[in-house]
Amino acid sequence: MQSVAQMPEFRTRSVSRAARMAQLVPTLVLLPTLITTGIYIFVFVCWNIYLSLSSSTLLPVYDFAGFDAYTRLWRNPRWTTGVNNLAIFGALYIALSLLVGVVLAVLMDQRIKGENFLRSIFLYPIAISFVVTGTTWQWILNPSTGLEKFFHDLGWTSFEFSLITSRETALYAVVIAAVWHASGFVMVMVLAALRGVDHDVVKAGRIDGAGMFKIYRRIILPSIWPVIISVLIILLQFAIKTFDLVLALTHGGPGISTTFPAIFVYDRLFAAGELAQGAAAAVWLLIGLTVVLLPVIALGWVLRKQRNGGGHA
Amino acid sequence: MARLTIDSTWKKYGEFLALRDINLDIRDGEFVVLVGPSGCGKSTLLSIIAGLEETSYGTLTLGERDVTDLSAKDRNIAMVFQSYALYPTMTVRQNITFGMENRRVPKDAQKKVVADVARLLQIEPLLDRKPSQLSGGQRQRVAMGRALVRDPQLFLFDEPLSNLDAKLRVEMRTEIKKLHKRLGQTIVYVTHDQIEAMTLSDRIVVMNGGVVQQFADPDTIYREPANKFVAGFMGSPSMNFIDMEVEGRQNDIRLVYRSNGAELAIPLGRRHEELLPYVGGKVTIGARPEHFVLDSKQDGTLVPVSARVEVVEPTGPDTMLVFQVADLSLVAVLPANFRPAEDEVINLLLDLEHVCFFDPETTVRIPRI
Amino acid sequence: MPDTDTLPDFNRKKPFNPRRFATRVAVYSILIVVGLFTIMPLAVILLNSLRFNADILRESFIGWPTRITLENWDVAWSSACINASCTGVKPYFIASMLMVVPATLISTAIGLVNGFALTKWKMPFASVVFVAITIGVFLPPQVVLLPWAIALSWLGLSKSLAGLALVHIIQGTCFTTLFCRNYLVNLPDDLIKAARIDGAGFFRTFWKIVVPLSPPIIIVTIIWQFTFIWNEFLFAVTFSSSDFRPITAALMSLNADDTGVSEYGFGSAAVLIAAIPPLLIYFFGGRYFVRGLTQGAVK
Repeated sequence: MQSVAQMPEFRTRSVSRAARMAQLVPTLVLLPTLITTGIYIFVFVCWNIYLSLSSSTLLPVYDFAGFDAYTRLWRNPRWTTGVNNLAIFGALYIALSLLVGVVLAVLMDQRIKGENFLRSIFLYPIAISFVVTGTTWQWILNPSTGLEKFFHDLGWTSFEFSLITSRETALYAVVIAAVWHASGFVMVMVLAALRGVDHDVVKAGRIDGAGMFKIYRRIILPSIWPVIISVLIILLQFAIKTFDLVLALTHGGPGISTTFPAIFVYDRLFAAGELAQGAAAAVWLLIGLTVVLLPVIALGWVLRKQRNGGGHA
Repeated sequence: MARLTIDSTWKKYGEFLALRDINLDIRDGEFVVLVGPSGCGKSTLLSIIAGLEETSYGTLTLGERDVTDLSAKDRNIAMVFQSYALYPTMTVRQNITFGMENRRVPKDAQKKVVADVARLLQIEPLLDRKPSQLSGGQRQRVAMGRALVRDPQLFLFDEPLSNLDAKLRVEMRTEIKKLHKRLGQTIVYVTHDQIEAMTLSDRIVVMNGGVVQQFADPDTIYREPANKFVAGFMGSPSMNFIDMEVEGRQNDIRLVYRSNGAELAIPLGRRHEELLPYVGGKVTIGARPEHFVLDSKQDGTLVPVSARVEVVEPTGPDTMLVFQVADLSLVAVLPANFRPAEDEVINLLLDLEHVCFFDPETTVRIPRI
Repeated sequence: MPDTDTLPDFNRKKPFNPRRFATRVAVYSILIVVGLFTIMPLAVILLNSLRFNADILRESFIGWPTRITLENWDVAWSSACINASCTGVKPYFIASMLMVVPATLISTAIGLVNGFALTKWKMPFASVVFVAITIGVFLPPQVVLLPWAIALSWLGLSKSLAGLALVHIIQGTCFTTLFCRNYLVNLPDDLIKAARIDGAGFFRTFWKIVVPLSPPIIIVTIIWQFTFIWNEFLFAVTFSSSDFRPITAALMSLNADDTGVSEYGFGSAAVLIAAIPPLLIYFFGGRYFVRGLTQGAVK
């Protein structure tokens, strides 16, 4: 038995050259990425913020004009309509995609024959670009060529489906196309999570006399919240970045009825020659994404901590 | 082959002290087992010996060389991992030769060494298979083969048997011991299994909380544990500990345990004079399960204890008995044919010759005079 | 011991349970209806690409071909007019390929070696890198659009294939590093330690141990990067010109071209041509595609 010795002064030992070289290689490997990502994230974002505070119009001007661009932004109906649209679209898109995806996943979990085939069908839209999605749905939803004409030709002449041509409803056309694009993705994510649920818990539930519906609602779905949160995060950023889908589907119209913040940014920067305002709008996008993502991430973190906290000795 | 000296070695992770002042002198050809509960620092110590971690303080000497600042590949050591760490995409032969390739050993020499090692470990038919096609025991052999081809000065084993089933574990244990007998290499072996530690080692290092508790041969560790931790950790079922008051005077010492009216008294008479300084205070008595016996065949070192049977657990070769004395629950290991009924009150004899005493403050064993 | 000579009758039928039967019918019905809805747009444009435009205009955009023609594909590929240049989508398809393939391969390679350095070597700033790449994944591209445009023109890469590829490599490296990190973190540390004791350095361990173990994540990352970059529109339209235009940007021009009679026939074929590479990858690598989704994204 030895007595507990006094802790010595830990000097920084001179590490051998070979050891230092071995450490150096992975550092050098990571360095380019660190530099480019650092520029990409911090320098570019700060640069953009700086330009948003300048008086730049057609060309970048490096002066300081205060929050002028920001105040003008919120007086621009294109921007406020866009923000409004994004809020409605985002809520509907996320809610419907989650609903359809979760229902499909639960149905697919019932030992379905041809599961792989069905999954391929449900998931393929995620592999298709928003431009193709938007273009195709524009053709289908267009009353003079698409569904309406189809049913008229079948003899159902009173059928009316003019979602996309009406100012009031065109936004819902965007929702349909976006939900079509994303629900298969949600289904696959949720299904993978369902398959990962501990089967003993389900067995215990069945022995306790719960029906399948109750088992899903009370036992299985509450246990896969980490995946639901991941899906939520991904859908949220899809929603905020919505751009090409709308351009291809409605061009932001009729009028400006389906314009979106991301369209506004592009329009100000490269069409209207309002660099400062476009940059300011982009900053708002970043703020918006942060504001909606942080609570979701925090929620996931708190839930995880709660679950892990109980079992910790 | 070489001796390994670890001199006042410390390891710090941030604010956490993983190792405190480790001093070990491992002789040439010695089989040393590091044992302790998880998180005791034994694996950290092994990583430091391997050169996979750096020391925060202290020096390591292997043979005549100071290896403290050498990287793993320059230390001339070999290691067998708990998970075997066989490269899954390489064949057994490539697994074994990978190190030699890196050291640019000529192909002919590689072939010869592989053939020798394969013969030694009887893995010749497996050489062209992938690790995934091998059984647990075969993987274990390949992992040892990979270590053997280095012909290192020091072998390190990191819980190499813990992934095997019980039967295979015993077989491989014997095989490792045979191999050591035959090759006479210096081995440092980490395990949390005390049976492995007892059976394999020339000497055992018992660690806890980053501190070496005791470094001694297996018999000493078992019979004369340095402190309460070592005594409790080694041996299964664990040693029974009772905090008792020391009463009396020279030539007439008594140990008494009182609780809620119940009393257990152990008269020591003129034995264990080393407890004299504790009269009026307390000591912890440590009795192993086999220190309780049934029949008084020999001398007068046995004291009777009246016990109420709680649980009887036949294990095959023995009967394990959980019994109550005063309000204490203790464990004894008795002959297999002894099967008392539950709640029966029986008389057990405690062998005072072998019990240990610990200072309740420092938990250090009080040496006999 | 059971009697092994006579086997019991395993073919006993369960009694018919009407409620269970009804549930099964409902489950299959819903899945089939939603499946048909999902497949409908693809089926419609596939059929239209085989119809004469006159038929489409007369009947409806949604309909079964009464006469079949392959002319649409030919026109769409080599002679359709987009932005007043009648070259079909061929040059845009080729431009996309020339940009997407190198960008995918380079970003995947960097991501893999980064992931290895991040997970298996003690790096003083590993957590900084991790946070940075995570932010990089989430950052809305609009925020960096203007600085990229200015920076690319400084570099002389404005509106060029190399410029767009560079943007995608730098941005994509965040994705690929995160993907590969999440995969490689599960690789046993003991393997790397064993290689260190065997005397292998960083690159030798990478080539001999890590790369042979990484085909699953390499395939997932390539599929994912290819699909993402091929389908990407914002950067594609911003950093392209008439000399170099990726197919998504070209397709948008075709879509926006409202002058004259709508040419749905070759339009459908053009849309399909743009969708074919990711769809092919999806149908042949579907297993990996799903794995990429569930592994890479969940963590």
